[in-house]
Amino acid sequence: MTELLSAFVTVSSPWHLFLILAGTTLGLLVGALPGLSSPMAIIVLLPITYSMTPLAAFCVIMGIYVGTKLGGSFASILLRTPGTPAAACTVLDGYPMAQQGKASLALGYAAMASAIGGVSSWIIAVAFVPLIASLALHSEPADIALLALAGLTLVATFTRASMVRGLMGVLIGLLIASVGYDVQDGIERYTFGSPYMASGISFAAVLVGFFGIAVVLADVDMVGKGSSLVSTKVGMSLPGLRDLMKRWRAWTIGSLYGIFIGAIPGVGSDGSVWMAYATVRSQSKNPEAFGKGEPDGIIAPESSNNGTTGGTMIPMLTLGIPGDGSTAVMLGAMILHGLQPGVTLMSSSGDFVYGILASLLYANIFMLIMALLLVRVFITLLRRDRSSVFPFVLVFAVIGAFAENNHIFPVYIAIACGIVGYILEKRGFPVVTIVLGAILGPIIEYNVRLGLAYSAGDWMTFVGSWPRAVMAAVIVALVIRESWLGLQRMRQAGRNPPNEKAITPKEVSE
Amino acid sequence: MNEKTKELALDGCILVFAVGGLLFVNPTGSPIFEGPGGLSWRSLPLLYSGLLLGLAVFSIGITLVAGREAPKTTTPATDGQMDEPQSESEMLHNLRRLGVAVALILYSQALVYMGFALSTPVFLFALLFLFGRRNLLENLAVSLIGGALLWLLFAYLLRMPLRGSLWDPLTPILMHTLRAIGG
Repeated sequence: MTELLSAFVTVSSPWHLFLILAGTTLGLLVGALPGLSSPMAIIVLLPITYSMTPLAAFCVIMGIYVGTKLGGSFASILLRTPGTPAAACTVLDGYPMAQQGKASLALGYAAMASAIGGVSSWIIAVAFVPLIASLALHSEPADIALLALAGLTLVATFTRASMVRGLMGVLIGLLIASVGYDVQDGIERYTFGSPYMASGISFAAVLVGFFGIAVVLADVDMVGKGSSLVSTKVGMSLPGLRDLMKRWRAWTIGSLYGIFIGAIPGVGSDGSVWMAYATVRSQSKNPEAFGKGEPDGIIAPESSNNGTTGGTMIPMLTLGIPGDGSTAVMLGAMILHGLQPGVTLMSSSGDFVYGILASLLYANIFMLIMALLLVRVFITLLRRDRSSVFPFVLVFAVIGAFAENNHIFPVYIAIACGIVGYILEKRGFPVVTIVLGAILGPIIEYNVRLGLAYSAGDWMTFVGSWPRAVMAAVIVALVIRESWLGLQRMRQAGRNPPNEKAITPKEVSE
Repeated sequence: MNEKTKELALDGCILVFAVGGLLFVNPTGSPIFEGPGGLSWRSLPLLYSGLLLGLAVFSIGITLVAGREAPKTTTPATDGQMDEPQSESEMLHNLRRLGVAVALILYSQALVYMGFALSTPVFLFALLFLFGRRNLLENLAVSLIGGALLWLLFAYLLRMPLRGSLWDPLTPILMHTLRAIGG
């Protein structure tokens, strides 16, 4: 508690508050513009944060992370185009409500639900992060290796593509992480004699390539298209307290889904919003109202979406396992700032961890305030096309890759990763698994080898205690379950050839 | 190219990558030391490559026998703009993508030899034009002002070494100007 209060004192300095505010505002803007995403915004701003302290850098990053969650709903409600994938569910009731002339109220519901979800998840994160971190501190190399492997398996399992593709992505990432001098023997691997490869492939280059350049290449077809809003005379009117209390079930279910599903690596808010929506709809006395502008249909996914902000912090800060693309980029940013994410983060940089938690609460509060104050600015920007934004994003991406070592070679790597990432993303390949593999690869290799060295080469050390046996069982069970489901889907696909047409929100709601 | 061929091409590329992982783990032929745990510097990369190879073969098998399994979730097509029929604009978009890739490669080269101050406005102007903005005067203004602000941020405030190695007349002028005005 003392550490948290001390972190609040640090983060309450005008400089840190300014950074959180700037990050949150930028996040709202990035989230509102379809085609721009939270990982991309964090990546783009990385070179600017290099000169900051790690905590100051993360004040901006947390602001962006939280802000994009709500920003995504603006476009969902007014354009019928989700600003972020997690905001897709808000389209179902947000857009019909806007069509009924209640766009301001729909935005108000989204903002309030996001704030409630964010603050609830912050409370849970504050309660669980120290607890899990203290337990994790007693872990040995074999535990850490298994945890990282379990995290990768979970991510591979819950990606939107097949598990085979997810595992392929993880293995490609692990191979990328193997490039350069081996940390234990000092032997070159996959360097092809190039001195630029000897220290490994730069994290910044991989992140910038897969989450920056690839996204711009994918979204080139958005260029030159302005957006027509359902209504241009929109503000934000917050719902009354009584109305909000009446809808307690929607935001409670939404927040809980967000917190707990957000804590599972790989699922993230993209999955939790749909589950929250489906649960609230099935529990409603009036389920047929959903899809026609029902406020609960906005509250549930939005509280769930922001509920994940605290949930994802738990595995990220205590175990070094990212829950989604944004937290994967955050782990990369920690490494670039000289921190070692993982079970020792809390003991080695406790101030930093509590600082992140304090900035998370501020970001959730600022998000609501800035959304209220600047909603009209965001709406004006929503109508503009992306042709003037993408060139600047690319300059930031190039400098982001360059700035890690002040060398041009990582820029070439970033361009290559961008092109490959775009092609893979276009084929539905879960690119995020490659990034996670690249981030967790060194941790896994180091701890597997150390674990085996401690046990004199006995592989049974990885099931030598009950927590390890449970983790190993979880990994095996996930692989078997997904293989079984994959076979079932294949049989089904053999009987009914898949329809290539994308499902519209209307079809989803039905 | 139909979907099945595209899937096979992707899996084929991954297979080649995995084979590369097995063959090129250490092209210099360094000696292999098995550590105290029985693993050497090449054990895990070879394991990863082997597993990737197995998965690639498995995936090719699935595609050949039954077609690709369907993704577990679907991304809703929510944009009104997406309702437009697939048209020749797809070709324009692909040309733009190619243009972006070429521009990035040229920009990174120009960054090394001509420096940030000179190459960035040119890069911004080229991309604005490539993205269909045909008001040249406005593009020029955006790229010059944007380039100058970015230079101020990265080269001046953040002190990144962004000076060109071959021909960069602009950076000394800008630095001199800033010093002259007391910056």
